[in-house]
Amino acid sequence: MAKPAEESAAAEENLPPASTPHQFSLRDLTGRELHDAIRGVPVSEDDEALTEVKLTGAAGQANQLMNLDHPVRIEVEGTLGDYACALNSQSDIRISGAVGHGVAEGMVSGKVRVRGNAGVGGGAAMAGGTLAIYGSAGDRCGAGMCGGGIFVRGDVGDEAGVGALRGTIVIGGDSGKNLGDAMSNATVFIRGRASSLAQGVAEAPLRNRELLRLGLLLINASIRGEAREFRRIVPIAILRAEQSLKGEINPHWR
Amino acid sequence: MTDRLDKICFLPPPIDTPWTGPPPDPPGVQFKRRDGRDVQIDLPLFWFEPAWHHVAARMADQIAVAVADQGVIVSALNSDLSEPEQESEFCSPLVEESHQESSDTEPPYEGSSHLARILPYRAERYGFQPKDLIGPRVIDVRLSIARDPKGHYGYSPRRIERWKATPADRPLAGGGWVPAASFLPDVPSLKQLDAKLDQLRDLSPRSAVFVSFSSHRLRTDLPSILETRPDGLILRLNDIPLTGMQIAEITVLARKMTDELAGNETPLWVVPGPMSPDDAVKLLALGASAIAVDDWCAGIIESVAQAKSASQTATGYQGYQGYQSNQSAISVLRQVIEENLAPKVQRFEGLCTSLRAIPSDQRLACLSGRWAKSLGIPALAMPRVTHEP
Repeated sequence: MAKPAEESAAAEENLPPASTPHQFSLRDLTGRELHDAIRGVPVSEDDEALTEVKLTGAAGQANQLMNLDHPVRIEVEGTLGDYACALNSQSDIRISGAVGHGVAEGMVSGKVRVRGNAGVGGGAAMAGGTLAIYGSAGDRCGAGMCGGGIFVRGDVGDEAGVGALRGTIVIGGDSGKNLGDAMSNATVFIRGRASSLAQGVAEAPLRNRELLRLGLLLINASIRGEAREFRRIVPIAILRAEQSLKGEINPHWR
Repeated sequence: MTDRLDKICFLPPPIDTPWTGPPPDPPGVQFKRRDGRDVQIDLPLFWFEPAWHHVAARMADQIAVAVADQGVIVSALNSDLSEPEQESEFCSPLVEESHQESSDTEPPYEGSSHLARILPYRAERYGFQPKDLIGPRVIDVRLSIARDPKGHYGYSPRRIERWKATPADRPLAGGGWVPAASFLPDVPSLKQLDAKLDQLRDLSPRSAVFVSFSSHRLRTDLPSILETRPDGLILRLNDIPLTGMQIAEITVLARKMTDELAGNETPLWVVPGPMSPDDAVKLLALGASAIAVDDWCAGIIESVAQAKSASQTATGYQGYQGYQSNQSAISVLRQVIEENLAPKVQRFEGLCTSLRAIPSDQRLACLSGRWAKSLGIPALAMPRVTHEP
């Protein structure tokens, strides 16, 4: 296992490890080696401050930081390729550049923040956690998700949220065609314009509880703007159930 | 059981073949991942699509273990076979290993030994969890869209409920069917499927990554799929009402195309629908590498479900009576395995053994000139053949 540079230096000088982040280069390690190296980073005893890990040499490599289940904060300088951060739990990952397809797909918990754009299928099949994309996202963002939240500051492509069973997608910009297709118990909030809504969904009023929830989510994801600027998109059956039962949802619509 | 390939027969060795003992037991069926790693299973038999949701998760788990013990590789997710408070025995490691946090040791999911399992990797990934990647021999990337019993492209409420348990008064999709995906949402196009296959190889370093697909557009789909370099193929022939001859023809064609485009070491697993053990061995001789035995196993789930239901009705399914109900179902499971599945597997093994010493091009002959011509295997010179279809 590659040792973090700081630890090696500290060992040589017989000093305790420095408080600077553990640092690894993607140029020196395979995906598997990097995974093992991060798993070896000690976990912080302070719940409020995760151990920091810094990754350099990121230049679009695919299949990085996948299946991590380790509570550390990882800063990635550069871009990552397809399936970055897939299936992760607990980790808080910040990527300074763009990512390829399937970022954070299947994520269980933790956070992934992407400063650039993301390809197709961002957050697909997510079960929990938070994916924040500060650029734009491609088609099928949040497809098949069954929990967690996705925040896209920019635009999303076609079929966002297709097949989502649960979870929340917040879109700061516009969306492509068929927004919310085949969605079940999931909710989309959109600030811009949708090229088209899918047949089974409709715009629903933002109730106080959603304003509050969305406001907190926006703050959490560091997305500027006010909750009332967004519109809520839900399956028509959910909307009808809300209207008839005054918020108590027990829909049977298919 | 109907022999759908009854116009094909096994050829015995030529009459002047010297007397030799049977060859030693084969070490199992081996195939390679793209990176050269070997993957091994006991027998070229697999259970492609068990209806796990037709029985309780714990009972489904017992069935999976019992079938795997017969040498059949079984397809299942953890969520098919487990409950929140109880892990699946079938998906768990056979031996607990001490895991050291060191680069010198393999990660636990590589070093553990598990019962032979196929991980069904569906486009939507409903029910899939990261721990499903621990220990499967084969990951089956499914490119054929699922259909529910009512004919929708989708999943039934019972199936979704197994994968995503929710409170009874708040079922997902309102308790209705859930539409199925036609293609993986995080793959831009079929041409880029190789990146997804590589991802799965990275995530599960000892599993072979196969692609399963339907045969409707075989001549166009197969070359496109082979370009993505899967470790193997699973060809679904059970979703079209095919005759035995058509199944044989498609198997021969798929083998030929695969050999030409990807080399003859690429496994070609076939899901033929109802097949006798003799038919399964004939399909192997025609070029398949493994055969789905869903038809042999379907009766197991039905029998156990009926036994459980009858026992619950009789006992009321409370406390000790619930335990008795389980024991009754397990007893039926053992009986069905012994009386139904085991004899078929034994017949299959026996026939496979009898063919091993015979050159592969001399194992089969046809009782029909039409079949012989179509399949490119010799016709037996029968004195009178009057009942050709």
